[in-house]
Amino acid sequence: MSAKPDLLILGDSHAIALKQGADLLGLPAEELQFSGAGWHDQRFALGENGLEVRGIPRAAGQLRALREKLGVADVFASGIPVLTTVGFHLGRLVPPFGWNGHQVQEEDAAGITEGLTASRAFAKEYVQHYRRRHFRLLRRLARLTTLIVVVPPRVHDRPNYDSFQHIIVEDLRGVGLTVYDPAEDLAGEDGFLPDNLMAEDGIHATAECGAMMIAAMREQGLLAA
Amino acid sequence: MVEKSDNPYRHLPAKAFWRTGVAEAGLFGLSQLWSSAWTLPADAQFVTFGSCFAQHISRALISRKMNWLNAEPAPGRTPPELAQKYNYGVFSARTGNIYTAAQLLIWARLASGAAGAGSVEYWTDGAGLVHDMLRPKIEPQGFVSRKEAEASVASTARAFARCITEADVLVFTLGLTEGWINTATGQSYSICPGTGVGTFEEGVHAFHNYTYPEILRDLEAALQIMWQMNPDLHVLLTVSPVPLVATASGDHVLVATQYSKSVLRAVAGDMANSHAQVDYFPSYEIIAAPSSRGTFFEPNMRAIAHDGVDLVMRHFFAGLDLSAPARRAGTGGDAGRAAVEAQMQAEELVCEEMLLETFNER
Repeated sequence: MSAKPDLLILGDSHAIALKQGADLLGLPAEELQFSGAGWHDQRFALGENGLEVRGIPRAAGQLRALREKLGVADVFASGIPVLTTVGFHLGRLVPPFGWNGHQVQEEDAAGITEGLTASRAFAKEYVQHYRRRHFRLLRRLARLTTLIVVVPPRVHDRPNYDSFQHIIVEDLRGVGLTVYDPAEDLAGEDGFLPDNLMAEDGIHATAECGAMMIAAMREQGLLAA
Repeated sequence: MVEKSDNPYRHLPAKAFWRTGVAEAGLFGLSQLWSSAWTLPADAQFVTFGSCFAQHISRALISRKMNWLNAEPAPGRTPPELAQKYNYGVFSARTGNIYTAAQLLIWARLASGAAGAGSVEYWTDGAGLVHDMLRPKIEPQGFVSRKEAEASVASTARAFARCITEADVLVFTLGLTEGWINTATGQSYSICPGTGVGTFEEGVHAFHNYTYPEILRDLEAALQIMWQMNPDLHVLLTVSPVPLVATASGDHVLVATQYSKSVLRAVAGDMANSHAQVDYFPSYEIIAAPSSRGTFFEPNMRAIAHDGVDLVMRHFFAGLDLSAPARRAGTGGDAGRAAVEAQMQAEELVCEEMLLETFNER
């Protein structure tokens, strides 16, 4: 059993920037990551030992190793603060929604003049259908330790991504979870993170951005400094 | 014995006489009730709209794997119960029930661009949610804003336009003569304001029992707009056999029902007789004529039993002529979906590659 880390990082590919950011800040952190597809497909369950990973051997091995390293059965019940990107996985959720050309009409957006629209109420129920189990997991974890859900960066020119992100954030906050949105601290006037904080793929944040997010969370008292 | 002279009746087929056509044939022996006026391509595209009974035609076409166009389907991967809750997949666009010819005319005008979504009446409820009075029950709770409600009406109008321009056959089921109108704006309502959605205002909202000339005029106007958009569109009219739930006419509901159905039946027949591109399918007669002895009505004598719908659709498919060569190749929808799947896979690869990068300690 080794010394307790300062942070546990749980999530999909967006969690990588957080882990790298923690490394840059010299904060001891452990991680459990697997793909957004795995999270979307609900390859997880809540068992006797808390979170279990199903059908992803690499991630299951990562969790097993973490348990051994920390010497506990339920790593998320050990009191270590958790940063997580679980619950979004927009790359799996949003594209199918648009297969038939649907867009959600946002109040502050220009009127949709082509294709089909779906109401925000419908989109909300659609999200809840696919994310109900994720929210349940997050609520369970939040009862055991400090848990902060970190919102992924906004992406340019992708219909419905903003709408779905807003809905998920609203739902997470609605069930009492703590949500950190880097756009509130680090984004420019357009609401997007500056290019220098974004990885080349235009989807994920950089390690530096991850460090800035953690620093902001500590500054705001969401995480103990 | 008196010799019968030759006359036109001597040359009529068995179906032209009640004894041989109905009485001796029996309910399930009825034949040649309808044969399509048109020879359609094997892959003829159908769209369905109208009153509640039209939903049965949508379902039957789908279950037979016919080419039923759903121009406003639910978003991809919508669970069926959610699609149903939000009225997706009921008709070929999300119009909700179109009970009257006046409402069909409104949709035709919206689809053609002659009217915009702003011309529809909207009502805001006590919770601040907005409802369009053309489709008052289309959203379970209502829209969050007027802007969203108008966007939804416009979306359905585009889908309705696609139905008109792409379909070979529009099946329209006439449901009601009775309706409610706004005396100030002329807006036609699908349900009486105050019966769930809207607030009834005496003097503003008025009962109107559309007459034969009005229905004929509105239907003719709607179809003329549609034919301007698609001169090849065939229109198959039916009349819903489902009786009225209630009448505001002052008559007994039984009498009002018979009046309403008779007027609609007459309009449909006259439209079919006067336009080569309009035909009439006798779903009303199959269910409601004396030959069925009311067999297909549920105990409430209003709802139509599943067996009745089956019989109607058996006659429909028996009379359909799809013997012309198919005209369409694939629609390209699958290719578009495959492209999005490929994009999702590619992004997944990007993400997985990023996970691998975490093992790069250099």
